Amino acid sequence: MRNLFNNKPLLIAIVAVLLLLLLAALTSGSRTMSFLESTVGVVVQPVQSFASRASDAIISFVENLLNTTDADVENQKLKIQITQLQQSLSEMEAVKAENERLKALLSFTESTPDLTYATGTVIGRSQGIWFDTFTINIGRSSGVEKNMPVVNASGLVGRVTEVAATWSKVTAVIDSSMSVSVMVERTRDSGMVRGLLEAGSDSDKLELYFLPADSDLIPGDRIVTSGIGGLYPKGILVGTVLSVSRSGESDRNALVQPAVDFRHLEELMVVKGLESTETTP
Amino acid sequence: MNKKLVAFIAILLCLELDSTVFTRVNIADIRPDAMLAATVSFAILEGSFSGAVFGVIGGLLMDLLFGASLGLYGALYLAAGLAAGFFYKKFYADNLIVPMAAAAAAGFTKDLLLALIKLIGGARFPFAGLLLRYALPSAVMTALLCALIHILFKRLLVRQVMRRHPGLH
Repeated sequence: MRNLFNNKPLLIAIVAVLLLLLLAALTSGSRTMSFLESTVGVVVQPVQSFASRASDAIISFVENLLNTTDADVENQKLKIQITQLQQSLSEMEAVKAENERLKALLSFTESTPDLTYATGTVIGRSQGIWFDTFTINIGRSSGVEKNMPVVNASGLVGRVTEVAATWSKVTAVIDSSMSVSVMVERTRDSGMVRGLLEAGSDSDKLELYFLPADSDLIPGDRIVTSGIGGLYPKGILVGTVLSVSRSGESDRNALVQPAVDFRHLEELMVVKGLESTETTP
Repeated sequence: MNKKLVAFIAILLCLELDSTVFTRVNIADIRPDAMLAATVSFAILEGSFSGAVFGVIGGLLMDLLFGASLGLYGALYLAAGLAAGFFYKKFYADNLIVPMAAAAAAGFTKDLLLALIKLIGGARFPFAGLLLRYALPSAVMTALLCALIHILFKRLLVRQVMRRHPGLH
């Protein structure tokens, strides 16, 4: 023990670990991003955006390359030509896919004329399965505020939890710390969904709780936001019921497949103009 | 190559790998932790202090850009760098078993601690099952990645490593 106290670097490191853990505990709840954090993010964000696009392009190119098995491998010229064509095709497909996604977003915004949106792109996601947060390339300068709901053409994505000048952090609805007030579209029964912390095929799923005991829920039922609490607009699709738990067998009422594909999340929209999102905890 | 430059580039690359590449390229949502693998390897080659600094900078950047709270990953990676530095100068730099074992142990411990934090935070999940289904395979993947990173680091930091391990060819 005396050796431990004589080892100054080790002591400093242990104190640093403890201080960082204390900082983590203090910043784990609702908070405002500091100027320093915001500035560091502004500096790193363009690099992050570029890297995100570059990795998308590389992954898409490699996928196209791996899918090609009939190419004449003996003819070097043809190989080069094929590679070039594939690259062009990959770029065209990426543009086409982006166009379709943007069309879907436009159609979604047209179907909800009472809401206004800021459109952004995902530029990074948290490491591991323990937290489902991601960074988007729009922030305060685009009118984004803390607690604003985030959607895409498929449905509810999550909520803005931290805002900087040109970027924001979004906590996905599938994060185990998130709860959303919902209702069953067919029966109008109210309940609550929250993220399920799981690995493998059951990751990215939601659990549905607090439905009335006599609720007539069946697989395939659509779950939409109820609008209770004012944090999320009413009627946004959250997901579809996968399986129903009978009373007594499990605390939860149902397992829900989110409407949004969280593994392929790219463009999304922050819903602006809802009342007092900044002050909601 | 300059140690600080290598560390800076490695941190940025690991940040991109963890936040963009491995979120899309993974096996059944199980991903390695590039930043942890690099921290462990760097600490074994350069010592506890350098490993801890590498870890804390990388961890804080991850906290800042993608984390749920500021300091959590900073603390975890700092501790990992500090602990992995224990093996500094104790093995030949081209020994891959030591960094792989250290990275696996650090990866599993990190996931165990994060699971405990989530449990204390009120999340309900199959604790032991998730450690088996996620933490263990993820630790193995981190160990494999650490072997690759260690080979790269050794090449890039060859002069400094040779200075400390004169018998190494």
